Amino acid sequence: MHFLSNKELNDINQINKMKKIFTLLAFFGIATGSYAQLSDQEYSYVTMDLQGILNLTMTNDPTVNFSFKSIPDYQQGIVKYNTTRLDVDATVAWDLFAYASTDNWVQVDAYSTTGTATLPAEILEVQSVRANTSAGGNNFNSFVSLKGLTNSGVAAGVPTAATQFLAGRIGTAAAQSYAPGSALANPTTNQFRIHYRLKPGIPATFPNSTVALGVPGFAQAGYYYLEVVYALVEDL
Amino acid sequence: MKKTALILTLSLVLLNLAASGQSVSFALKTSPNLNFVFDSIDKYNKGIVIPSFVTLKVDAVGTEWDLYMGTTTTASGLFDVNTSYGTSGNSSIPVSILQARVYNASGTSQTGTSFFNLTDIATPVYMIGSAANDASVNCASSGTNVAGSYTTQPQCYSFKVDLKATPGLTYKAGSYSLRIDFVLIQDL
Repeated sequence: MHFLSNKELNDINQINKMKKIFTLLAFFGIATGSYAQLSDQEYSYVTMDLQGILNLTMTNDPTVNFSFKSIPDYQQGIVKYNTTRLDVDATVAWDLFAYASTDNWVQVDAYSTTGTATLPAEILEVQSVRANTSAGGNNFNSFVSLKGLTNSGVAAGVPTAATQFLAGRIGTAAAQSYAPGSALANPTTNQFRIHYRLKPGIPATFPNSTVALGVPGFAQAGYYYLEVVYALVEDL
Repeated sequence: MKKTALILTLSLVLLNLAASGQSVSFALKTSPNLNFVFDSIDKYNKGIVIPSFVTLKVDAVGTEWDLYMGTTTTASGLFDVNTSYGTSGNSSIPVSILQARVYNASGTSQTGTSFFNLTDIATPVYMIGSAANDASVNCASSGTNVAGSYTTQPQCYSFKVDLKATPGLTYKAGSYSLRIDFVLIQDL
């Protein structure tokens, strides 16, 4: 049996007091630690649907008339400047090409009995004021014969290497298409003016045509029409 | 000694309860879903504005507060891609093409009444206050941040939010999404 001395009893009392103080301090610590920063949240989900847009706008009368009524008209031909104006608005990379919807002009009326009524689409020459910046391929940077449907290689609206492009070219590599943009903001790349030229000559053999006229080698006097297609496509 | 300790403990508990009489909260949450549909070149060029798509109603009891907003996406600062419609263009669309305008009668101190670009929630835009402890601003001064409620002072504690999207023409066609978070937090 061991009896505690006064000193030992005092020590134990001190220890008990310290324990109580530590307990209170710990509680105080918990109490102050429970003050988290108050907050609340509101939220909103946003969906953005970016739809691909390709707009080709012809800003003038789409009908072009050539009337050959004099010898000079036949000899020198007739040029229609800035006749077709095209605006392109696109949110995707794009190509613009042109072709005739038929291989030959359609004769509506014949004014004589001599000459061939089969005039190839290629007698019409076309030039674009905006040079195609995609190098290589067929273009309209100067007056060239517009290819008929078969020669253009276009099948079901899809171009090929033979197709003539006003902008871009066949293929999807860099510099083979034009970048997205609007006509208003990008007039040098997204606005086009088209010249047309017909030069029959005498006799009307259309010497500039890349496809020769059939026998007897000159055109029959008459009234003809040809439909020209401008197609804007995504560069796929 | 036991009695003294008990009294001290009870005092602390009461003190704690008294201090917890503070709160900040949004009332009448609507959490709306928004859909921007760009289906014409005019919309691309001019952007689309959805006015008052949400109204934030603040209730702050016994404490000052801050209000900020930001976007939450998988890749910080870029829209999430739901699906792509094509191959050309860039699908990394920064959230900053979205702009917000937050306003009420007394105005916000940080953004005024003009549109501002959104940022990721990690670097949010403060409409009221700042990340630091701010000085008190009483209603109806611009940037009110003291305790109050939209029910009695809507001119200071209610905010309308307009949202504007202007993506431009260079991004890949597709469907994109993100979440906009509005955070009301005690100003400490």
